[in-house]
Amino acid sequence: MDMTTILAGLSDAFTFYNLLFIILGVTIGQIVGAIPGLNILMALAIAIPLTYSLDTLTALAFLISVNKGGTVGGAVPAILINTPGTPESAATTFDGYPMAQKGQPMKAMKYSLYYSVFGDVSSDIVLITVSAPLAMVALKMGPVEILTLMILAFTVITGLVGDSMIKGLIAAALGFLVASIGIDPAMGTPRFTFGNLSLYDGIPLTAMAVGMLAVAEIFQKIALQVKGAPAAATTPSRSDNPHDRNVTLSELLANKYVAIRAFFIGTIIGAIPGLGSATAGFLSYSITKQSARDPEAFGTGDPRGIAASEAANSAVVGANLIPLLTLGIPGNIAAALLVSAFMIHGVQPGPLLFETQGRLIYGIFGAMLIANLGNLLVGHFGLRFWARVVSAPSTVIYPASLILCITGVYISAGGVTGLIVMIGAAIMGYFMRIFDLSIIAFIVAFVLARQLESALLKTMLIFDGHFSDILGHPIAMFLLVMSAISIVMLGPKRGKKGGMNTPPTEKP
Amino acid sequence: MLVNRIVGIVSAGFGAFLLLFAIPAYVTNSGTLFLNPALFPIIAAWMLVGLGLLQAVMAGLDPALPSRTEVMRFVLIVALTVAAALGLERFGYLATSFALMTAVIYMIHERRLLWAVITIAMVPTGIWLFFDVLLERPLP
Repeated sequence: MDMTTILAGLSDAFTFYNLLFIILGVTIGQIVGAIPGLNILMALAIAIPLTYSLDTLTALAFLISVNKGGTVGGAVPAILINTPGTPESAATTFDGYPMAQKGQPMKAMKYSLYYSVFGDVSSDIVLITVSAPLAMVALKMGPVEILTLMILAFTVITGLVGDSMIKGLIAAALGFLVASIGIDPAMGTPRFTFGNLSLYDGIPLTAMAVGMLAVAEIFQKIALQVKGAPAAATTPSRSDNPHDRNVTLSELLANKYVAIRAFFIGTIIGAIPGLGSATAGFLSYSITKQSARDPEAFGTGDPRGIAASEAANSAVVGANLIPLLTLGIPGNIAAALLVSAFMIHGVQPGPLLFETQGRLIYGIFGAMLIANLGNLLVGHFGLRFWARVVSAPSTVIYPASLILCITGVYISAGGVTGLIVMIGAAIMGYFMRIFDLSIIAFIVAFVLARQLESALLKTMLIFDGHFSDILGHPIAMFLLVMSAISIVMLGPKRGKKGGMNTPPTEKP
Repeated sequence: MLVNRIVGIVSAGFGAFLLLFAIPAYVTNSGTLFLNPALFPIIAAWMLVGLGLLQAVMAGLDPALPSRTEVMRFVLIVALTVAAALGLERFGYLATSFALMTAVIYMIHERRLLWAVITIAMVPTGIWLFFDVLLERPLP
């Protein structure tokens, strides 16, 4: 790719309009992250309908900013009230909350902000550096390799999320089935439309995502709300000593090796489909504690604990776009929701993007870097205000979120039909949560189904009934062997709850 | 283990239903492996049958099931939302939203007047102003 396209793309991100939406996205993300009970996925699902009227770069920059802001905001309640605002901040509670209890809540939040931004910026640089060369390699793959790559992705994702690979694959099969509603890509005939013309275009992704991720969660929270629910937690009092409120550069640099290791862990975890920020945070915290000379200091308000958790969970945000942009495979739900945003604006994510939409890609990269700066600025000035959001009553948050979902889906997904789909998806999402069927596997399968079916049909045509021809595709063979290994390695071990790879907060 | 076994049996049963009734009735089947619109749904249905049976056999620890009260309240909130969805175009956005929010606020036992007013009146009005007036995306 020529330098002109790269520079033009990067400069596209620097328009006033884009800057405005990046700051808005970061702010919304931080606020939503700071509200216990709401999470980034809900925020993203609700935000997607709002981006319909925006141009592609602005829309994606806004959504990525919401995602980035959420990782910073999630640490606020984790530190102040020992309740992670988002699952990825769960490990931050271990040392953030004790530090706040010592009268240093602002200091803990600033530690969290700075290490979070460090992890995020570093993983974005990795993304920007490696994605174009990886995409060039990916472009050399044909339908057979793409098909086997997707099989590998599904075995890895279903093996790593939830408690059982079998249940993960059942959820993926359901995702394939729901995605097959509408006109088929082979012959153009209707499938499962029951004569309903509005189903010919398939199930609207926005309604499905909002229903499964946001409305199902809201329904469940409202159903669980009982009379006399506990009042909002009180936040710890702040010290008047400036040392307890600020973090110096030397204090930050004292934990530089911890932060760098956390960034590596987060980046690797983020690049593997199926693993999420919460896993990165827990793993990094655990490794940091185990390798420390004084592990007993962890859990008492040690800044190394905050650095380990926050730098790792934020590093996932940039890294999880690596499989999406290079292979077209969303590694987690946030990436799957970004796929839907891409598709809404007529762009198919994958390695071809670097050839066909290079300027857009580098515009997104530019926006990501700006969003990191925005995260730092908005966080620096906003943390004290987000601390108040922590006490917002859930009795207002959930109904308000519900009406926002209804409005967004009505506008963006075909009126009342879209709403019915949303409610149906919410019911399905509720029961999938109850029976531990992975919503991540379902959504990723739903998003990838068309691409998978297309690769399957092309592979069938290429082989023309001679399936032994796959021996002439060494990469495909390698990927199939890897799939078999991942089934063996990840399948049987997932029979019981509480495995290392799935912190309890990793769901949906 | 019982719940997990039931999940497996239901999955397998649903897959069998798709293979025997739904796919033949609602999907064109060219009967070949090539460019067959039914191929993908058939693969998904067989996955459900096979994985469902495996799940029934290899059932692990059961998930915690919700209480009867929670399920009843879930049904109630779903019914309220369906009613709001169906009433949206007939009664208008604001009237429907006010009614839905009032019902939800009553359901979740919020009795503080200020928060109730914010939720019932200000939130729907604010959202309506944002979409209908600011973004010019018409709401019913």
